[in-house]
Amino acid sequence: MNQPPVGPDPARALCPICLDYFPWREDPLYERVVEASGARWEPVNLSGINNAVKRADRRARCYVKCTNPSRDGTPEHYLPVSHRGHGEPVVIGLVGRGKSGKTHLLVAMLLEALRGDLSAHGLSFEPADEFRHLLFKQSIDQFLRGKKLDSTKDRVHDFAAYFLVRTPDGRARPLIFFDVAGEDFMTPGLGGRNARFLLGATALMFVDDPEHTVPARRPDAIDGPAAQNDAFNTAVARLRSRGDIRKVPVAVVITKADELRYEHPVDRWFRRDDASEPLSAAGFRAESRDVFALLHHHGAQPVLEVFEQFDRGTLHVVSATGTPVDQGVYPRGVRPVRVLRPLLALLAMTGVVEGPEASEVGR
Amino acid sequence: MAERPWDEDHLPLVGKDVDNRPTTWLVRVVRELPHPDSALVTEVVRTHDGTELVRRSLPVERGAAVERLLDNEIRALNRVGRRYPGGRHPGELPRLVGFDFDSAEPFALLSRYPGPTVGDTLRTLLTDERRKFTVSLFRALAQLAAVDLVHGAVGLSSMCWDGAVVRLIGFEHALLAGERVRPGVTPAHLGDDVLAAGLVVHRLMTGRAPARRDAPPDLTGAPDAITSLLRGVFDQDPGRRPAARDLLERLGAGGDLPEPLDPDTALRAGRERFDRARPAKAVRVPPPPLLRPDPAPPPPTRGPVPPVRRPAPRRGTWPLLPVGLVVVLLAATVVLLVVTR
Repeated sequence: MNQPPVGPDPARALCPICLDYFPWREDPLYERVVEASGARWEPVNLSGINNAVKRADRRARCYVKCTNPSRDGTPEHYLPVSHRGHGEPVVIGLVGRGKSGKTHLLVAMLLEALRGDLSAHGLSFEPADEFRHLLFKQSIDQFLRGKKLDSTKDRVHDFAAYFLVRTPDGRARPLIFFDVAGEDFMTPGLGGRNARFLLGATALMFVDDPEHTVPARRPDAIDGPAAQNDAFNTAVARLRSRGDIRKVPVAVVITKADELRYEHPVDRWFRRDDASEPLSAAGFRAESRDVFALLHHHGAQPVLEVFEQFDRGTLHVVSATGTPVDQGVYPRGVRPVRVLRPLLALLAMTGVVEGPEASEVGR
Repeated sequence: MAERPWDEDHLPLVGKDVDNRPTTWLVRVVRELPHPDSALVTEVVRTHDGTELVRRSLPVERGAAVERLLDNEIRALNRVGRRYPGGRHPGELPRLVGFDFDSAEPFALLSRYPGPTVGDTLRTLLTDERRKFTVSLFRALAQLAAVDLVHGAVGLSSMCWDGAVVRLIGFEHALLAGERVRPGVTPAHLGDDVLAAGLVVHRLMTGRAPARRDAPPDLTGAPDAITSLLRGVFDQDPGRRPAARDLLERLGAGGDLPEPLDPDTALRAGRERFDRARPAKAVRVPPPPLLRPDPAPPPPTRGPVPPVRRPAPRRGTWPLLPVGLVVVLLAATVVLLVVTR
């Protein structure tokens, strides 16, 4: 019996959800139909559209069904047609305990990216998955109204956001984000599907908050820093089946850093407005070194150790909202701070951003 | 029921002290303080135990820009408070009692100002007071410089004078040295404050304000006391201006500044561990050549030409001149004998 070839194949695609290679068939294409009675996937017939422009536009908003050849129990899933025809997708996974601020970080980051805040680096972002972007946009709207987002749920299998990032030289790369709830991520079972995205991730963001890393500077500090980070441990253990995990680029992100805004050396980094400045590997290194030293001083071993397990990585202090939540709302609205720095670092480390400085980021 | 030690006019202010401990103050607004050139609201408040403090808060018309001003003040005074803890706190700088930057009504709570802002009272200072004022002003700047802070708005409306000490107030434009208000503008420099203080001192000594705010005063013909003190203070390049400590030296008053704590000491071990994990890139040097090149000729020298050394005669060789003479004499003798036969 012939085994199907495993690896890139023009007629086949790697599904970022089930991690199977599957035959890429656009006949039929699908679309998501939402009605009062519920939402469902329906085949689309484009053969009657004789205007090429209209046809291309219609096709761009369609989906291809993954056949999940391994039949591993992953629920039925569909990928946007933009998954093919561009470069190799960049898959970024967010890893962190529950309530560490991953979802707020992702929403704030992509909100600013879509707004064009990385245009100084020649990068532009566009949603490439209409269905999921509508869901994501609800989070953005809630976020902009200064309301706390619900914690991530029901995303054990699926990705959170799918974008195309365009670079100055005209390339476009699919950019996929996985944001699995901390509790689901660490739950054993499900045939290992809950953290499977790690096996296909191009880069990772390890996310933790001051409560568990620098508790001594919090007003309500009782305990020392967390001795363990189960989400980090689960991720690293899972990654080992890929082989040399050291090669995965990582950004280690301390969220909710508004709590540390007046702490040395965060007081210098937190206010730095360098999104539009030329990319500087030395700048990333200097911030990483300071954040590492702060975490070291406070004994945040799980964060330090996870950083040291990878050859290429950066450390960051960010705040998705600018202030803490108060009874479900942000009293003066949300003002994200430095949320694009980890994304820019990962785009440099994964080769989406090119150049001599980009090639040195995180080394 | 126990009687409350405060009346109903007292309102709770919930925030943190400079050590980040949650604290509630019960305060009553006594009066609003005029604070020219400040976009923030400044009020004298009295706590339930009778202590007078100064509250800085947002005006009714607010937004990100004015919030940033309050954030600047809280950050700067947090830095001062942490670096000069307890008895080290300089009298020339305000003490941050508490703050909150997270709620709908953020505030900074400061120690009471020692007097009104200087304003026009500057010209009423007596000679002895002028020296005290000048020394105290430069002490304030030297102590800020030691913690890398640029006040950013030193002027008559940002300093109080109680007859002995100048206290700098109004830190809403304060930045760390090297920071920019926004991308593309000139970074804050410690020399900015030196120039601004120099203008105040010049006015104190001459009674004249500069003709234009952006033009330095002309020191030509000024008394030696002024020119020697303010030498270089108005240089276009902030990096070439004297430091506040230098000016204190010129005044003969540079000796007893408190040393701030160095927070980098606590970070040293972590930075070293980082450097071991991610060694900084060394300066790239070209690889050594595969073949040893010919030695380069010595560079030409401009010194005296060294004397040429003549080779010493080699030992074990015959001297050439005497041998030649002997050969010539023998040949002549042979020729003479042949001819005379």
